[in-house]
Amino acid sequence: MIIGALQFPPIENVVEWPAWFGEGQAYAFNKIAFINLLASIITIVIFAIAGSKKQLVPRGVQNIAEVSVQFVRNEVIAPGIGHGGERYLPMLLSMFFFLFFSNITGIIPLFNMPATARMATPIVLALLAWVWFIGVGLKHHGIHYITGALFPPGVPKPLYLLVTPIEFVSTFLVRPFSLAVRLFANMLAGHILLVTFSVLCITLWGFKPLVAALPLSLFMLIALTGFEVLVAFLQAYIFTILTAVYIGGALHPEH
Amino acid sequence: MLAAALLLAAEEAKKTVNPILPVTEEIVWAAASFFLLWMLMRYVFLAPVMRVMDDREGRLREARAEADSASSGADDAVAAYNARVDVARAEANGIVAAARDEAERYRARKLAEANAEIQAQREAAAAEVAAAKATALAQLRTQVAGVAVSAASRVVQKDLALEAQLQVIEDYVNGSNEGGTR
Repeated sequence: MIIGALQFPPIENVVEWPAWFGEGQAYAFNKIAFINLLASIITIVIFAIAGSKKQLVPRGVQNIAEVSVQFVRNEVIAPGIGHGGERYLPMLLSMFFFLFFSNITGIIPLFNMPATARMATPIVLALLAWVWFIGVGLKHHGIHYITGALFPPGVPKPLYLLVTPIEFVSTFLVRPFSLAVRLFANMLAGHILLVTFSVLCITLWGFKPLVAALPLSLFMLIALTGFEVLVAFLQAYIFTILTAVYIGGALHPEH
Repeated sequence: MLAAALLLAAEEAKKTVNPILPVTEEIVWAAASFFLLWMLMRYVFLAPVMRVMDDREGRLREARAEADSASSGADDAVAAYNARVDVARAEANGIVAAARDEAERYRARKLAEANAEIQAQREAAAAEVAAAKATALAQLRTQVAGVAVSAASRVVQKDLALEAQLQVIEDYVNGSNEGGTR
């Protein structure tokens, strides 16, 4: 797309990546798949190194792993699930790290693409969260979890005509999509902003009459890159804590 | 012609990318990567980290308990020390009180002795004064009687027996004194 002197790349060039192998197959491996796999491997390496060290005063990688465990325990599980939430630590910790590393590649040179700016990663984790919280509810409360969610106690019976469809849509249909779309949209927007200012910088560099505006564009690019670090962390945290809140709601529906 | 156009449209639609819709192969790799991570974290890699953290927590708990115990021991030692100090202080106070009582008794004894001595001296002085006074009175009485007898002798122009007159005066004075006390 050409706007004035600017030539924006087509959207497929910004978000679509060709397969490195297995083209046309279900196992086709592209940059997004590589980032997802790398996010898992980096997390595993961090915890493998941390687990091999038994220092009384943790440093380096051990410190990162232990602080992240404490963070998920205290800032995700404790407020989101409460009592009995410790058993969900492996999943929520994996989710947080997987999302953070899938997000942060958006600002790492040579990657320059968050895997979560594609819908696949968010929708997989959102569907997992959806299956998980419904499974937790059914496991602990049986069918009463569904009936309790659809027919909240204390509501006058005629109002169930209005409340039950709303509860069904909000609790069982919208949650996974809101989780997935929030993450995907934020990361895609950040990615497009970075692409936009990168293209602007390149264009201004080659367009002498407006080269004076280059520092401003470069400043915006650097500022947005810094902002994307915050967004990468924040979106991973939001996704994880919302999953914890949904699980907590299924585990303790009376709250 | 129509078939060719439909085929072209289908090809074009195939090429058109919807950036929102997820792609199957990316879903497969995302799911596989995450499940791999989750399972490895759950069964292999998280446990050692948790064990180290729990060990540290246990050590901290033990150290804290030891510190509390040491602190409690120190409190006991301080309490024992304070108790000994209290006993010593009470003993010292007893000694001081006993010494004070002894000093008080000594002072009272000395004071009583001094008072007794003063009283004795006072009584001796009073006896001496009384004796001197009696002697003086006797002398005065004799002299006054002598003057009176001598005056009476001159009045009556006759020598009066001094001894007899003195006896009369003595008797009178004595009688008058008895009458005065009556």
